[in-house]
Amino acid sequence: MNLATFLVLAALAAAAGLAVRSIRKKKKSGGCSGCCGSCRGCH
Amino acid sequence: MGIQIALAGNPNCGKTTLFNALTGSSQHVGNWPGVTVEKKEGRLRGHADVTVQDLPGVYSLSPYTLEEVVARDYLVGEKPDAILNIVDASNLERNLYLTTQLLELGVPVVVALNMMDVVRKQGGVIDVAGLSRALGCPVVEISALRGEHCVQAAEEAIRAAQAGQAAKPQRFDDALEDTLGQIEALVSPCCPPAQARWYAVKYFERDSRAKLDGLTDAVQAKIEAVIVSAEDAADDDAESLVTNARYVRAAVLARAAGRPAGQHRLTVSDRIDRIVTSRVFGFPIFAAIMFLVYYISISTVGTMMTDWVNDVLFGELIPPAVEGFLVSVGCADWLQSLVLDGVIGGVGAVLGFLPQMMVLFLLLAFLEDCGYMVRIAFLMDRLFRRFGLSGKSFIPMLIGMGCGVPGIMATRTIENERDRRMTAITTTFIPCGAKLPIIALIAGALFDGAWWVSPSAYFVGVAAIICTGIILKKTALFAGDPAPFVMELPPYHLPTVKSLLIHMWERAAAFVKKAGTVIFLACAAIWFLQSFNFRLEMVNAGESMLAAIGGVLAPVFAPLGWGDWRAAVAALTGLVAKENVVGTFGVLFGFAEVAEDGAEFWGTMAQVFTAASAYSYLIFNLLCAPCFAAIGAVRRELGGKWTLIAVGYQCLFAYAVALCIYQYGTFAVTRAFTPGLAAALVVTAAFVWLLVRPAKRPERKLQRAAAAE
Repeated sequence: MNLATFLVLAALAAAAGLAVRSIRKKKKSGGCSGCCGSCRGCH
Repeated sequence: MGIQIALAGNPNCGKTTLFNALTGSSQHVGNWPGVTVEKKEGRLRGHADVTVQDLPGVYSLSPYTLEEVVARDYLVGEKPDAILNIVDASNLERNLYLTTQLLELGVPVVVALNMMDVVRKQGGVIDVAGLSRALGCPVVEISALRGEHCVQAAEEAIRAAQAGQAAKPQRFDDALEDTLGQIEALVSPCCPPAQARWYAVKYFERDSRAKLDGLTDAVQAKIEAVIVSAEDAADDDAESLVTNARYVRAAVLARAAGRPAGQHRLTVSDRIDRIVTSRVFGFPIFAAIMFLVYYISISTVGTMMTDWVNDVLFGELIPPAVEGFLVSVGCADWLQSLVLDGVIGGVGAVLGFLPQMMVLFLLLAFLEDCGYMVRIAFLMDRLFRRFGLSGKSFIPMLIGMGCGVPGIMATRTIENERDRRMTAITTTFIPCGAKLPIIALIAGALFDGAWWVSPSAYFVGVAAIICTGIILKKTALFAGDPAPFVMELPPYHLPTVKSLLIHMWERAAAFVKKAGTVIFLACAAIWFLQSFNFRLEMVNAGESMLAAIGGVLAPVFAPLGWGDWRAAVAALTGLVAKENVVGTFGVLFGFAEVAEDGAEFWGTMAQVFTAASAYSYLIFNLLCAPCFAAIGAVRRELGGKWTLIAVGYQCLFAYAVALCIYQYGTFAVTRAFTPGLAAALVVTAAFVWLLVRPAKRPERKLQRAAAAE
């Protein structure tokens, strides 16, 4: 594996890690991602 | 020690406007524990030790709706130091009904008379001082919208809290007062003196949620005897006696306080509603509006921008630039494939539809903010009632147009358990935001942007809800009369451009965020599965793990016209997030490779689908089980068993409808009688029978009883 491959892979892994963290944070907040645009649904 | 002031009042009386004026940016928004009812509290400006609690808008404190239960539990259990009761002066009698109940709680009450400008405009006059004397509590005129006298009302509430003088309850007729007095004497040893009247009324109403510890069986029996005696004397049930007495008292108070305006003039909203909610024009107008919304956003305005995003941004700009960079730095071929084919191919395919979705979000935000959306629930009530549901069931579906998760959670407001279950099962038939890329993809790729495809997706959803309502209401599990539905129609108003753009931006940002998280991870996983076999050797897609998995699934969907493993896998990935269907197509059909000319991508897809199978695919994905997040919401609301029933029903229903669409559509072209067509005919016959068969008991029992007489 050359350096470029390693760096691109590391960047993708970091992006994946951030994505997982974001999804877990959303689950903890009750699943709200704001995408319904209708806060009346929850309150 | 701090002071707690509770804001209580009818919905749309200006409570939240007043709350915002009093607390400004210091508010904290959350949910009441265990329920999806908003809890807002904030510090009163200029008074660090005063907390203002905004309670849900309620018409009474009876324990029928979640909002009423939450408001009452707070007022009785947590006992604020004062209640600021916001009363809409233009609807005095209706608002004073709640006031009569608040005055019984044993808490100091101050009445804030809001919307006095509306009353004056209508030519009315209210004797504020007289009303204050009659109620036995301070009354302050305010205009929450203009911020007039709001601070004075709050300060009056603070003074009332500091004085600690409980409000005096209103007196009813002598007979009822005598009865309540007897019950009060029986309950007073077990409750605070200030709340004796409240508990007396609740016990008289046989309110099961108002229970006092320490009340012996003997005392309860005495109370019951008093109630029965009163009911016999009045020839009416206890709860009705109190309700009538309150209405009489509210009417007397309103008449004494106000000179009604001259002839009530119709407002602009009333005039619009005469047409928009009329029996003749209501539905055609609704159908035309929803048709236009979907047509404009997906077939015309949105398509122009989507074509640019697909052809230019994800065609000529991003993929060549990224590929050039990766090649120049010597990145490994497999990693290039992951980035280009997997990530950019998948996520790019989904993001390509963002412009269409933004236009749709904008139009839906306009309909919601202007006040038309709630009228749809009113219109639907008339239709739903014929099939055993009520318009209250349509409100979660309206919310579900954004996202199914809050739509399903909103079913908590439906008191009737059967209707709640049925609504939770059918809410996701309405296309949510995540399904829009699927609609746009099929409409654009396989129907060349035909005008009818995207609006039909919405109306098929509505038809599915109605048919499901008819079918399920005829079963013993769901049979029963629809619940009554009362709702307040807020006045129409022109939304501001700023609020529309904010709504559109919030939803678009959430969509992009979802693309960058869930879709990104799913597409990477799809790329991996379609690039490697079970020995982890890099292979063609047709020899990959995904093809093997898809090969098992594909025959199941062959009767629906899309037995290709890629279509089957895409439908399966839709369980993670519905946008994944498009993302998976992007990966499996090589969106990044061919996206220099978006037409090539569509051409590749068109080889797999005919018109009939494409529409069948669309409808299947719209009606089948929703995403995992929505399934999780169903499980939280209905429990495991009903979740399985819901998912099973949705998949079966979607399969049956998609089968019929494909088989009849193909027959229309080929005129060939096939086993698939025979199956479709059997399914149709069964469907029709389920729709038209007689209803189960109790209706049948009543009919037999009537016939016997």
